[in-house]
Amino acid sequence: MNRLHASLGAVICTTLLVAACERETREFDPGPEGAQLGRSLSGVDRMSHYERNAHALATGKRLWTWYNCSGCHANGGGGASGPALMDRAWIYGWDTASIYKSIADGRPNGMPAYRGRIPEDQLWQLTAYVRSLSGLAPQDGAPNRDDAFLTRTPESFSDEQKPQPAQPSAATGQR
Amino acid sequence: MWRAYSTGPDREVLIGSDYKPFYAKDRGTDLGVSTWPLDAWKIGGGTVSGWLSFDPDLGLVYYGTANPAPWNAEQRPGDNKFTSGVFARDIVTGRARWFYQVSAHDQFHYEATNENILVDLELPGGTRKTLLHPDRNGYLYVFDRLTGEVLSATPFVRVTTSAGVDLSTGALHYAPEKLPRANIVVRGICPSSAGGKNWQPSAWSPRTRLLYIPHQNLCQDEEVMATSFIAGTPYMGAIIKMKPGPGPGRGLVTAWDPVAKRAAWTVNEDFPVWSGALATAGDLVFYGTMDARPNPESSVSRSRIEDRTARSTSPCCRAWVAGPEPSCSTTSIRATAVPRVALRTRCATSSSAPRREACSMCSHSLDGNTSALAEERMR
Repeated sequence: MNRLHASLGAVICTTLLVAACERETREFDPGPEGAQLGRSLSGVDRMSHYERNAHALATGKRLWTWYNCSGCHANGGGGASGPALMDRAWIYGWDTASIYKSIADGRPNGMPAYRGRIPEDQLWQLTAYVRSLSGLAPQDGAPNRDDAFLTRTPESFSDEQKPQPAQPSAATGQR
Repeated sequence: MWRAYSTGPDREVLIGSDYKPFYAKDRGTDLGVSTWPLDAWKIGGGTVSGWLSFDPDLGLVYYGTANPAPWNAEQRPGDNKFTSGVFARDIVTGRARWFYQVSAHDQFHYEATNENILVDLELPGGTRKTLLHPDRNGYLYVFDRLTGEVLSATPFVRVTTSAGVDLSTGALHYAPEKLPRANIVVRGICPSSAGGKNWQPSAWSPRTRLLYIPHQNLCQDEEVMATSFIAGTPYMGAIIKMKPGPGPGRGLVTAWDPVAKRAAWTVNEDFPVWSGALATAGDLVFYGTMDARPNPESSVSRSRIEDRTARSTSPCCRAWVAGPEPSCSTTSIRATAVPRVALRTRCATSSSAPRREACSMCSHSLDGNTSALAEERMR
């Protein structure tokens, strides 16, 4: 019985350790053509790796300001001339592949295409961060601080919004 | 057909020998280049995104220019001509007659794109051809529209970002402690970047000689940071957090007397008043709000309405139209483009008019059940 407990404990510890490792992994040189990591993993693993990784999420948050995403979607994703991204309404899908496509290829009425302008790795970091805005990324890796002053509840404290499809409209920030 | 730019060399801004701004601060050669860091004028903003007014007697067209880019003013030292100011141009040639920079080196994204209302005013010195410009920076400017001279500039909302306009130099005196700086949070900036009033147009009544200004009561905290120009994306470099200004609501309608330079009356609203105003020959003023349509069955919303009516200090009547599509309100509802908007009418008659008479005027412009409902509520 004790032995069973011990081995069960070992399994749990190892699982936690592996999960924690993934959260803390840092890829310092993703290479010019894109993420080494991206090439070495299958599609689904690649997608979910970024939003399980604290460094990817934190970098995505920084890029969010650097690449002027915040200009249209607001600092915390509350929306302005572009749709809000901290709520449950999604015009072009909320799964990782759809958000990646929105950032990479752009969308009608103002969303520019970032593919080819920034490294592939950063597209995935931004994708992961966008999902964390409405609590769709795991909370343990999501950022909880801002470089500037806070204008919203930190991403790591955001409850998951139940996503649902929305039509482009003035109410969703698109006309 | 002509095209004139808001930044760049004089030949592109259409500035020549007939350009005679009233103040020295707006005079010079190629100011659209020299008041910017090297080449920054090429990505400097100053779009014409607001209203244009035309005086057929003078042959002049008037409009305001938008803010300089980016919002972070530390990246663009200089006055940043010809952004955030008012142009008067010859309608035929497009050549600038005068320009007045309302917010030089605009620090708060105030712009100067709000409407310019052309009226002739009886001022102490006699009748003047004026231009009324309620600016986002919180001042109501009265210009001589022939020369660009500022006859008066009076705050119509709470202003913390500046300490007045010097009428001899035309300069707006910014408050140093409220200027946004990199990596420092500056709090209590009033009005907010949305302005003491934004694009929603005011209405002038030639009968009451009052300007009915729909506007907002918002302040903000702000922090600016370095930002890069990326074509197709906003060029800002600022984080702002807006909040209600001092006072009972986040929005209000002000009836402004431009001669006496004070408000004749104001109506407070819970939400910013983002609709335009409409003044009629029947002395009514219309505007829309962002309140949801109240449920007539709900005692909560009804008592709230009555409470608000009772709290109004104005002697004029005030009707809330809650019924199905009142005939007189369709235009205003459409004009606001806000779904489920509640519409209020308000008599613009002078305060000496008997209340009963004013109320019946309001009622006449409503129809059927709605009128009865409104009358009942006003009783």
